[in-house]
Amino acid sequence: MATHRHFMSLIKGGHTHYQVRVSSRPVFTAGDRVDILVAFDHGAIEHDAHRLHAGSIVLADQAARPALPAGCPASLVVLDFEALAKKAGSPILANTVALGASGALLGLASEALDDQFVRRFGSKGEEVIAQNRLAYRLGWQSVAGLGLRPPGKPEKPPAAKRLLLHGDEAIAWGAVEAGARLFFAYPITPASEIMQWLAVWLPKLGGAVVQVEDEIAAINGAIGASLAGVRGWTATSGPGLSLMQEGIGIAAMTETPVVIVDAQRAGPATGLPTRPEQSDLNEVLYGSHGDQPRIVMSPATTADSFVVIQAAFNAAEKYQCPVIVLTDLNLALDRQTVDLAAFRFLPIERGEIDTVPGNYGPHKYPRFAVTEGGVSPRPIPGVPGKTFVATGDEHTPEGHITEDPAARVEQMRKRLRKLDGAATLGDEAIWYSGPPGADLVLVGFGGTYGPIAEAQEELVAQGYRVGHAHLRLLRPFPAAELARLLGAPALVVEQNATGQLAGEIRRQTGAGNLRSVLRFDGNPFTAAEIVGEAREVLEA
Amino acid sequence: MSATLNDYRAETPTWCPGCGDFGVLRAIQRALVDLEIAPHEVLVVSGIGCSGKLSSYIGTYGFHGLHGRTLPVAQAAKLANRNLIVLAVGGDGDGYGIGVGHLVHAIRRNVDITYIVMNNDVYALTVGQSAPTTPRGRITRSAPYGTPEEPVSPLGMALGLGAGFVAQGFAGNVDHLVAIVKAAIRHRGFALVNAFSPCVTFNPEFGYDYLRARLFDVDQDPGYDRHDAMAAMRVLSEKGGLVEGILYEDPAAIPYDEALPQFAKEPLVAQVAPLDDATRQAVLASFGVTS
Ligand SMILES: Cc1ncc(C[n+]2csc(CCOP(=O)(O)OP(=O)(O)O)c2C)c(N)n1
Ligand code: SF4
Repeated sequence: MATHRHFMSLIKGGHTHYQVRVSSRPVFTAGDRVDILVAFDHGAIEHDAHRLHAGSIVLADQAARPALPAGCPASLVVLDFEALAKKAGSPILANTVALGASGALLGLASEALDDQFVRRFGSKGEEVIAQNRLAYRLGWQSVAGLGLRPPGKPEKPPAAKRLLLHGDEAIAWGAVEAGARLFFAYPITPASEIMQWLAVWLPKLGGAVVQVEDEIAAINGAIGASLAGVRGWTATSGPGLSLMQEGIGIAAMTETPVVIVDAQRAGPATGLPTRPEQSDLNEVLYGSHGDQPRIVMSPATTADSFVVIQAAFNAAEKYQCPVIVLTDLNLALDRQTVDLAAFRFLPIERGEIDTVPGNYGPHKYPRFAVTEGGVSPRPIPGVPGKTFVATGDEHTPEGHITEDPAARVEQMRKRLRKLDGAATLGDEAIWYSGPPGADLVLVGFGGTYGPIAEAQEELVAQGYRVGHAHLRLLRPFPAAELARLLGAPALVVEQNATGQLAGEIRRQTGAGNLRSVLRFDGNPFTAAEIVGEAREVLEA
Repeated sequence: MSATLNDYRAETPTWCPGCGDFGVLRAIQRALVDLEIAPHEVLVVSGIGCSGKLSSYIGTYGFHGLHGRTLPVAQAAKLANRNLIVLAVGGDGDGYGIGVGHLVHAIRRNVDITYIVMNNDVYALTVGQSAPTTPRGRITRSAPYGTPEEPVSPLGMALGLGAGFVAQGFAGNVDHLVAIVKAAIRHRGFALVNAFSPCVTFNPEFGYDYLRARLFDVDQDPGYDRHDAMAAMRVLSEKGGLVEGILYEDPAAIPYDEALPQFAKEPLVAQVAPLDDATRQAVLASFGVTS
């Protein structure tokens, strides 16, 4: 099952919808087509009429005085949700009535959700459960007798353990599996769900969510926690990321590990705060003043969010530098069903942490020793005989502030070379699928994985030789690997107005044969539009 | 073996001769020695400014971070490892200007750290602009016609916010400052010490003689009750802020990290591990997986 939540930055009013796609095989998007539309107001029909087809059924509330636009081939079924809800006990049950009506269409039994209501409303008492059960039945009965045929009904998938979750939850869970117990953040869509999940679980694990005063405090808190030896981290979206830029630099300069999740939304400024976009790419790659090492990872799917966040914590400690995990609103908030088997657990690797007492004099320990690989052992405060200062001023190997040109050059080179040949995601910096010698490669990163993968599948079914390269690592940029895949023309699919990924690919690989498909209207890509763009290139 | 002053000496300070920051450094060093704390048990988080250099000179673990951001780092480090003694130090620009938002919330949050502000009424490292503490009318490099704003009243603000420990010291009276810093470190919860630390180079008007002639020492006043926040407000107002000593202490204040029951176990720094099996099953169940 894949879902999509469309919502606006309002508490009441405006258009909002929740899209659910059911399939017997894994799907990564809520799909382009609407088979069953449940409408509580007229706007809902208008908003999605273009996605209805001849087999679609619209279940609409009578109160909305529903009508299909001229030429719409769908069937309209008008029901009195409100009257049925009142009959069940309260007008607030209209949702459950609609659920019952949809359940009947899909061939679910009239008691199919009885247990769910206990799980969902158990804490609210018997009466609420009974009312919901009745509301479901009333909705169900109002449709079951109409002899409607559902537009499609998936087979039951093979038995497996499956989770229903979204990317924010996968990230939060992955982080606690990686041993992270202190989280510092300030609320923001679409990252707040990470904080909210952790607020439930961290206290049970001996840890805490610290809701700080702003994102500057969040990143500095994450850094302070890491300095002291735990895995400190934070999560935000564009506006918060902008406030964190100076903090990213102090982590790089003091070689303190830190993990920052940026769940992108549409900018600049407050932009479209509840809508998807991938326009922070340049900022995460180039933001913060000065030359500095940084790792940027970008999970492709919900399960991958779980894997990448663990890899991020390992990389932050191994390379003692900031790691940014770049996700986006759809990936962050759209719940999907995922097989448990897709969740890979990575061992915790803490790099060169030093907990062995020494007998160095005060500030004589070479915390920033110049090493071949650029990483130096990192004592944790509390270890006797190895005190040091981590300073954001340029410093000697012992951490003493210096403006000596040779020392400066040596330390700068040391910091920057840490990431030469860094193996942060192993050989999976790019996920590639497709035939060798494809005629066209679709390229993307992050939450566009679903629509691109579906577009590729469709194009292959239509007989085209098309590949899909999805970048999971953006710093260090896997230039050589991508260049090898870009022998063919590429179509770079990204949710921003200026083609930030395409620009980066050009800079990094020199590849010239790129075309961009861009979307920045606040809605997710559909597979169909990518197919259309790809065919234009393929047939040119 | 307990630590000596020598264990608390690292790089040679680069402050101007006569700078008040020497007195503050000496007071912190002596307080830590007196409290029989070893340098490796201490983390000093310092800001940016002349004052921020202190972490380089004291020989403990240190973090010399961003201008105005000592408190977020210090609070987090304490939560990560409750066994550490965590001090935040920085200038008045650092603490009452760019970083004042963090001070407000550090007071509310009440994590068990000590914050020592080295207050010279000026931006010294940037060579003499007005600070948030600069008196109205004073001519500085950034206010050649006189500073147009009223100065902040940091201790009044802290008291108003319900801070559990509020004190003021003076680099020209190191013995007293030692006693104040010791009490601040012993206090369970957030402790604010505003230490007057003259900048002899950029703000000589606000110097040793000026302060010595005016500071009223509440610790020498047998009638003064340091558990009475209103008394603290009154004396600050009567003396125009020129007081010295422990103005207020709430011995019943419960620090953030003690108020959270889950922190009772060993420090988090010793607990970096994946979920245990039972918790993982509970998480899976919350995502709808039945075993
Ligand atoms: C974000 C930022 N803005 C400005 C500066 C420049 N700056 C460095 S120190 C300082 C003021 C220092 O004044 P104060 O904190 O009172 O410390 P003092 O030097 O007086 O001890 C400023 C503005 C900076 N380092 N970072
Ligand atoms: S400029 Fe002022 S504050 Fe800075 S070291 Fe000199 S006397 Fe001290």
